[in-house]
Amino acid sequence: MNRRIRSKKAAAESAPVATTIQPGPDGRRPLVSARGITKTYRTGDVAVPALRGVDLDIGEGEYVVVMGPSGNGKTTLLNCCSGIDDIDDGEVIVDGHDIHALSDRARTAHRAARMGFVFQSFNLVPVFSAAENCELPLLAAGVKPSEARTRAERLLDRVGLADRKRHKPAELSGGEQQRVAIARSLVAEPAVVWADEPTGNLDSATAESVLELFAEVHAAGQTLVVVTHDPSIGARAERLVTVTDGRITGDERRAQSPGSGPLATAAEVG
Amino acid sequence: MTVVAAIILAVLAPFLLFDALRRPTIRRLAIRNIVRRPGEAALVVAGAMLATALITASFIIGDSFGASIRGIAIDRWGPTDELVFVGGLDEVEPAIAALEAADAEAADPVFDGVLGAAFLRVSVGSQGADAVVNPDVRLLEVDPAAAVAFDDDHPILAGAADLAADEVVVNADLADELGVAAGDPLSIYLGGEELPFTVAGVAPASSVNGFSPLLAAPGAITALAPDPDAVSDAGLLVSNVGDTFTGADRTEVAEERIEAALGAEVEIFTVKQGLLDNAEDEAAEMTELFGTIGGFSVAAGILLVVNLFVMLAAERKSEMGTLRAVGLRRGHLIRAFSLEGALYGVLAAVAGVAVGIGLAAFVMALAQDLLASDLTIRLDLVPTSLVSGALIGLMVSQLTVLITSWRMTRLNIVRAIKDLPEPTRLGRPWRRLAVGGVGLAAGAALYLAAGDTPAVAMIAPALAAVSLIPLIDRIVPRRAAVIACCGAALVWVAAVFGLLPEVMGDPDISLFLIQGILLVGLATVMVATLDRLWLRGAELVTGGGISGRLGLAEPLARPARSSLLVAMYALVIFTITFMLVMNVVFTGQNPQFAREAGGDYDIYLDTTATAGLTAEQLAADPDVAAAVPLSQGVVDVRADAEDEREGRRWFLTGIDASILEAAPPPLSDRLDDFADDEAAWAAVAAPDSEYIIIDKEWDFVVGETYQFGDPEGDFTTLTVAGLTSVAWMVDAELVVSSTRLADFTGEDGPVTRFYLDVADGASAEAVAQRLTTEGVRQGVDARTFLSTAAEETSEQEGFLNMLQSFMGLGLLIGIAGLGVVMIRAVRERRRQFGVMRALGVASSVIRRSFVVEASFVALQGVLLGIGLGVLSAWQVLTQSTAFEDGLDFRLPVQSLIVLAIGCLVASLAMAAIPAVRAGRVLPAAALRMAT
Repeated sequence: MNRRIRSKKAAAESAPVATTIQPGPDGRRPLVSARGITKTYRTGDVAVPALRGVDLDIGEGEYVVVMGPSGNGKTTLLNCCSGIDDIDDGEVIVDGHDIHALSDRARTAHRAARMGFVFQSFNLVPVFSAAENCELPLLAAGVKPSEARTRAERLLDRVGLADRKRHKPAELSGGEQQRVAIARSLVAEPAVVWADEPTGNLDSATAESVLELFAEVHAAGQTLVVVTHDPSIGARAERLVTVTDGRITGDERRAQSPGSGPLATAAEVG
Repeated sequence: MTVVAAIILAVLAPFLLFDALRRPTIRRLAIRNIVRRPGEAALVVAGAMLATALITASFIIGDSFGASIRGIAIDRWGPTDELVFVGGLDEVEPAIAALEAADAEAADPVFDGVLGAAFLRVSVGSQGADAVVNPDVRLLEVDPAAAVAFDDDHPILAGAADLAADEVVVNADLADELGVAAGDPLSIYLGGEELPFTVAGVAPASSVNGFSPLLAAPGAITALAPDPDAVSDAGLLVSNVGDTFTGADRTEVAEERIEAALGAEVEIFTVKQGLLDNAEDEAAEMTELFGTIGGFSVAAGILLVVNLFVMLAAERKSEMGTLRAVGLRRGHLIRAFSLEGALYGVLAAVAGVAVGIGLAAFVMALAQDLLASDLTIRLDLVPTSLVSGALIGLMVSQLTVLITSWRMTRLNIVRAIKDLPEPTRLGRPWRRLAVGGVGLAAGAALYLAAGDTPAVAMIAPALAAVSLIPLIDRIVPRRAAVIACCGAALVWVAAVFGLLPEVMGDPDISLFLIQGILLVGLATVMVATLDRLWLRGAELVTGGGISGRLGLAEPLARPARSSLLVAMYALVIFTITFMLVMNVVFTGQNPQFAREAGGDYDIYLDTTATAGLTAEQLAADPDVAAAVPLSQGVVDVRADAEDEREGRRWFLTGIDASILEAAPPPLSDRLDDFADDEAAWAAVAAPDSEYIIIDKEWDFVVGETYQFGDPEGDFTTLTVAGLTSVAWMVDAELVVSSTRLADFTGEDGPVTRFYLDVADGASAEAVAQRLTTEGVRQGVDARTFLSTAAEETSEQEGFLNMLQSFMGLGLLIGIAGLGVVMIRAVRERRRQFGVMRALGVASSVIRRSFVVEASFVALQGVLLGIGLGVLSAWQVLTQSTAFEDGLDFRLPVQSLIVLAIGCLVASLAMAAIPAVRAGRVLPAAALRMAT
């Protein structure tokens, strides 16, 4: 009985909300919509505003790069839009859900099902193998372990790590670890992948290969939001958002069309 | 040990002080790391404190047992240092005069008091409808004035200065038992007569009143017994110059002077000196016992400190890498850790002594309840013991920190700064071969040189087997090599009692500590080596879920750290299991002990020599199938070699052919000349038999002859026909024919005991109770062999319970240690949890992973501890010669289940708080911290 009640509650929480989201300029389905989000960090009596009423809309299939100087709120914007950090004011709709209105449990489940993450320092679970790391979001979303393993291994094959599935992170190079992280971010077929300084810990050659991988992913139709201070990444994006002092101070769109690379869409992978 | 600790600390102290005073960087590193996280510093201090607490408690417990036994000197003997039996009542006064004259003539007077007395064993009871009877009480007849002069420190006469002939002074214990007070009537029973007395006063049960619960004025014994000399002992209580304790220092001189004055034929008992020697031995034995048993907990405490420092070092790895990069040498880091450890250690030593005092007080309070003896337990805090406990505890924590920091500071600077794991290295081949070769050679050499020493016989082959690992792991897979070599060593250590019974026959208690540590260490290494097996098994059980997988992956990824935890658990549970098995086995032996002490007889009934009770009268009782008379006396034994058997007063039991009316006690060994045990008993029971049966406790050999002397010094040679097992339990250690006993004692062996075989269907316990009540006039004290066996084992049971309670603290260490490690794990894996939460892993999954991890570690420890404890106990009980006839092995299944479930539940409870904390980690905060 309790289980059923909980299920109903979770279902109610995860139901899309009726909200007004502006369609993208090219008519894409709106995926992320942030309105007036503010975030202030407090350390003792000191308050440091990180976001000051930010509005941002991201359409399905967009490759958005968020740039700006260090400490100006890029990562905070990513964290708040993805729901891994709370906001002080405003609202964020992701894939039809007001994520900050959800309970922690529902928000976590939403992340597992609809979002992928890539971090600067890879952040693989050190005691898990590449395949185990990759299947983590699937297991979190309740996919059967055998199916999760099959999908994870297939995706690792696609990112060129077919022979490294059983290796632990400490046995992989930085580039390989980031490929595992990218595979992990895609394995659950997310609506959007958030990447925070994904090349920050890589040498230029390895960083290039990771960016090519992102390009392939995007070409396959994946929505990507990348936070970086690396101008070369900004140059590849179809949309460049600039954040300064907790505000969006630039939003530049470039003409780019999704193509088809060796990495299939998440739907194909699944 | 204290000296070793003092030397080691004296060597380390100058370096630590130098760093503290003259090396500001090292001092800052040490102190600020403590101050930075006071909560965690408190955890380390708590871990280090436990070793000090246990060691200090062991010392205090030893001291306290010694003090408690020394306390008997006051309770029972007061000023009396020697007890001298002079023969008849008429010889008392001349003996006092001779002794005082000899002392007065000597240049150095030894005696400051001599009290003439007569001793008589009587039954005593209150009067009225609710009369209570004590069947066996010592009555002391003394001159009241002389008694007060002999010991004016104690109110011996309880104010009854003029003790009349029909008055007695009763000590407080007996007054409580009988429910009498001053002025109440009292009955004394002797030789079938009941004599009325009045309680003149109730005195404290100490000094003369402690030794003898009843004091009567001269003439009382004459009134009680027509032939006083036949039923009483006349003698002197002699007090040496000095107080209760220092008087015993002159015992040797006093003994010589008594012999010189009264002749060699008097019997001298140096009661005070014997008691104090016993106290000293007992104190040393208790310190060793609790120190050894506590050693398991100390070992667990050391593992906890190692674990905490390994975690501290892991947490500061990046910081250490940076420090190395900016120019600090490895030695600086070790010194900073050592100084930090020393500061923790000093705090821990102080706190440990305080906790040790509390623990010892708890154990001694338990001892008062659990030990079924009338020993008054006293807590004795000896300053030197407290200092010793602090020094040893400080040394243990300091060495632990030093060795751990030496290991943990061996790092690659770049990897440390980036917080990357160190690669697994097996070391250079030649070095590994050298280590293996040296270990193998050392094991072989040790065994050849000292293989007949139990500890060496156990350790050396195990060392050789383990040393084979680096020699063969290039030929066979390493896991297989570890399993094979550690397995072989484990089998050896577990089975050595049975494999080498001659060598391991009389094991020292410390051998069990060695065995336990070896077994647990080897098994833990094997379990850690089987990590893949556990993972596969767990996947099958949990279905590959995140929480199960993560909960297992974490401990398996850090085998050294996990092994420390598992070993910590297993060590303590091993000891508790071992004691639980021993306890249930010992208490389960009661019927067997009863059978070995009494054969088919159920009751032994003691009476007084003059009571006139006969076997025929007892056999006429409808509940008694057979009644056999036994006579009792005392004899000297002259053994071939001078040992503890010589000079001892041996209690003789005289039997006749009627002993065979029911099956007599079974013999553990007998002469081949006899077809069966009954034939041996028959040979001993024959008139003027030259055979004896004696308890095996005293190492007499079947077929050997020994000389037994009477009070006149005439000796007779007798042959040992057989050995009994536990006859000492009922004071029947030396059995001869009744006629032979009469020869020894110079009188027709007085019948003072009967063995009774209870009729079918009658309750032996009820019959014994009834006979005691009905036979009060004859001073009857009837007891079943079974109840006496139960009394004996209840002492052991109480003692084992006491040790188990002591070990309970070790268990707390294990459980608290797991909690501490789990709390620290939250901090260590904060980023990981943040990432997992960001990826959509529910906080409940993370919480569950913690529970799985704690359960996995605890379960391994519990299973290893219980399994090895049972194995070890089984070995010792059934395969070794530690218990000569072996004991029936039995498992305390219920207790073990309670132990296992209790440990697991407690472990889960300890994991609950860190699990909740881990589940609450905010992803963004954790990731921000990481970047």
